Amino acid sequence: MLRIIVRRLLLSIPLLLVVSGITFVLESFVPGDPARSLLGVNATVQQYDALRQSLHLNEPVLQQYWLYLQGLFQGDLGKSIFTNESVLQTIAGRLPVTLSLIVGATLLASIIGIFLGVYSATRGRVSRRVVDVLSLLGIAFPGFWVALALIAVFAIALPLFPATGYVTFADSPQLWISSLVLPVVALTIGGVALIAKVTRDSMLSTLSLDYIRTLRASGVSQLSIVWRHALRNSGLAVATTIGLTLISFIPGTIFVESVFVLPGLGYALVTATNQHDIPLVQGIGLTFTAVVIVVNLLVDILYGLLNPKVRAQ
Amino acid sequence: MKKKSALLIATILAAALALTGCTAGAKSSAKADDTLVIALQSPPVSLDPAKAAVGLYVNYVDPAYASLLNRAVNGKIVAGLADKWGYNSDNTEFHATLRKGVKWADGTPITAADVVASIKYFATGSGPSSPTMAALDVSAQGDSTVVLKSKTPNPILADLLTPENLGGAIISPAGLKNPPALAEATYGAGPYVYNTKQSVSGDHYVFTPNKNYWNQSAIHYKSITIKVIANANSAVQALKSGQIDFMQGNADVAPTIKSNSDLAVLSKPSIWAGLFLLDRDGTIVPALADVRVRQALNYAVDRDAITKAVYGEYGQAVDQPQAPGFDGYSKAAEKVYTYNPAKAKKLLAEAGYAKGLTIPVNYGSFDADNTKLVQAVQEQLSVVGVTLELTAATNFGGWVGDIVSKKFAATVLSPGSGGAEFPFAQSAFMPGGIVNIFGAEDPELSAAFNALASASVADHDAAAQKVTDVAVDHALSLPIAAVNTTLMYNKKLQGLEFTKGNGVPTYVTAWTSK
Repeated sequence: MLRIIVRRLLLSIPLLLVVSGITFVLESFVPGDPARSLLGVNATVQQYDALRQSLHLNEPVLQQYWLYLQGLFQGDLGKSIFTNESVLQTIAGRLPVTLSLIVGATLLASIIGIFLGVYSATRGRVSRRVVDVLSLLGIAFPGFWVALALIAVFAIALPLFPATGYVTFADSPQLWISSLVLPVVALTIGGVALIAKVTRDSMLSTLSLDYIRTLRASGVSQLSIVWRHALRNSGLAVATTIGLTLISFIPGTIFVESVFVLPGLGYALVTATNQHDIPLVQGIGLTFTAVVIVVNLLVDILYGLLNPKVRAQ
Repeated sequence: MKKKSALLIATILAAALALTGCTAGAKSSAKADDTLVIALQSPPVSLDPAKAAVGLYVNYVDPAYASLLNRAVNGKIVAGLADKWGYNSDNTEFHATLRKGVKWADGTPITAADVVASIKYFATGSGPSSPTMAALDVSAQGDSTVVLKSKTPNPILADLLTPENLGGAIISPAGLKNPPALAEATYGAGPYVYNTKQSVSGDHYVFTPNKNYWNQSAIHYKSITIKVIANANSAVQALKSGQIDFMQGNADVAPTIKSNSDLAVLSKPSIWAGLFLLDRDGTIVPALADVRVRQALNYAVDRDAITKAVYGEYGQAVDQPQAPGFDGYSKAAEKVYTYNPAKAKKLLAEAGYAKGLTIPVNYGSFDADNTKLVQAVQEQLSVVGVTLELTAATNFGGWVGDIVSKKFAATVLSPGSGGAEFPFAQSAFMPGGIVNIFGAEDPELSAAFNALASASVADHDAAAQKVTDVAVDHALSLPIAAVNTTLMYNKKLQGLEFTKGNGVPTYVTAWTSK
């Protein structure tokens, strides 16, 4: 197991380099000039040239990337062109917000998805159809619309939760929960369907195995058969799907953080891309890649916990 | 049994968490009355007054940087940190004297030498009035008087020192020692100071009271927070739920609060929108050098229809490059170009362009209203044989870059939030003007501009209107609409008004909550 973890971590290094290179090149194609955005129309030619020189924008893209890599290898992600704030500091301030959102949504989607999957696997055809329809509605409704609808109902008509904003856990655990309820629900709805479907398919397959019949014959309760035995053995597929769902929530944070005005990485990425703030775009891109790597690693570890054969291998 | 108990306990805990969240959320939604929360659509370019944007974005700077002079609601210049000021007889010299006892936020006294250093630093920046300040000679007379000298007459030296231009938003010597620090912290003499601990860059900016401000009675809030809410719909939801007091609205979202008795809309024309003709000397489009062609463009568009379609009740058609109520707005220039495609075609034929012409135009697609406007104008001009080749810039930097590239003969402009005729004409129509990219010159307009520059206070209005009359007669631009600046706010907020001749509401020390 340790060997797998170490190998995965070593393989992630070239992956991060590839991602940073592609991001850098793609960002260089985005029209616009950060120096112009910073200085506006009123700057003189001398001011413009001086700023471009200080930001190394007058150098070839590959040269700029090499300068960036030199800083990266020393743990320096550079400074935001616009705020002059350290990119590492910006990310550190915003990462907890985004993680709260995607971890919360993943937990909620997993609980609901697994419950619906198990329910539809152990009930009749009508129940399965109902669950299918509910799951598909979750995919069909645009996330943006869902978010606005939640605000209209639960923040304005019934003022149960704040419409916008985020409170850190350190400032107030109660308000932290409150500020995350609606955004987490908005993000969760689209992720339930796949988890429910994979859980159901996997459960149906497991429940048809001989050992389940033996357990029933031995007098083990249906509740125990479903939740203790069958679900555990269906866990590999479900675990993979949950991992993929978490990863799919990352781009979703962009619209959720925008609508609910959460100071997370998704929202910062949109602003940074529009402003051509290359260091910040790079930093956030690398952070998201690192999150994906960690999630995949955790799924692999979970495999080992769920299946002794994987541990033995 | 044990498992059922565990399940029951887990369910109760989850319900408790949800209930806690609900209760906390219900309490937290509305903000306290002794705080002011403003929503703006984008973060500041910089907290440095020399680099900050003006218009409503001056709110990022104004709380911490008091200006030497201010503008009252009736448009008159009034005292700020300076309580005496005046021009010489030909508007080439201006003086301002600091009031006694004013201090920087760190408690050190403000001197005339400090003000001179600050203005000189501001002149090196990229603010809209920086080029004008750079042309001035600034010196101190004694400990408290600052003198600004201009080589040519300049009637707006006082205006430059107000919050709308930020030239008088003085920065302390401590701040000027390390200019990069000005982007992240404030070093002013305003009623508030920027609180870095409570702020999150790019999300919300918090200002708390300055105990060294000279007029403590003007500090009405325990804190002022400016939240960045890019999405107008999200800002409206925050306004409705009581999380914010004030936001900039637009024609799309303003109607959504009509049924809410706690909220109000303040809307007034403050800017003109239309095509700004950059290539008036015909460098890349020779036709534009002919006044008949430019006049034809003005006759070919139905301003009323476009204004109604794009702005609804939040705009009014104008054919002059100024909004009603602003300096230079001319009654004589109203309805000069009524919609007349036949006349437009006749003028084009007289100029030798009966078969039409093509004009490359750039615009910023990040501005939805400008996008709709230029598409409508394109469609109407095509009827008379004029083709607009549109190029969209997806961000502000790209739009500016396109303009200075000199590849485009016109651009779509909504220049700032109102303001005086003098600086607009200087930057837009005079040789060397920042927006006059091709350096086009109109002798009659230059003469009118020079007359405005040296006009006395009594003659100022007539001289400004004369500049507009010439700009309209010679069709130096293609204005379509005077667009409203629309503000949406909670009625608890008092003192919120547009200043006469300015699209920016009276500054923060005037606002109070019930």
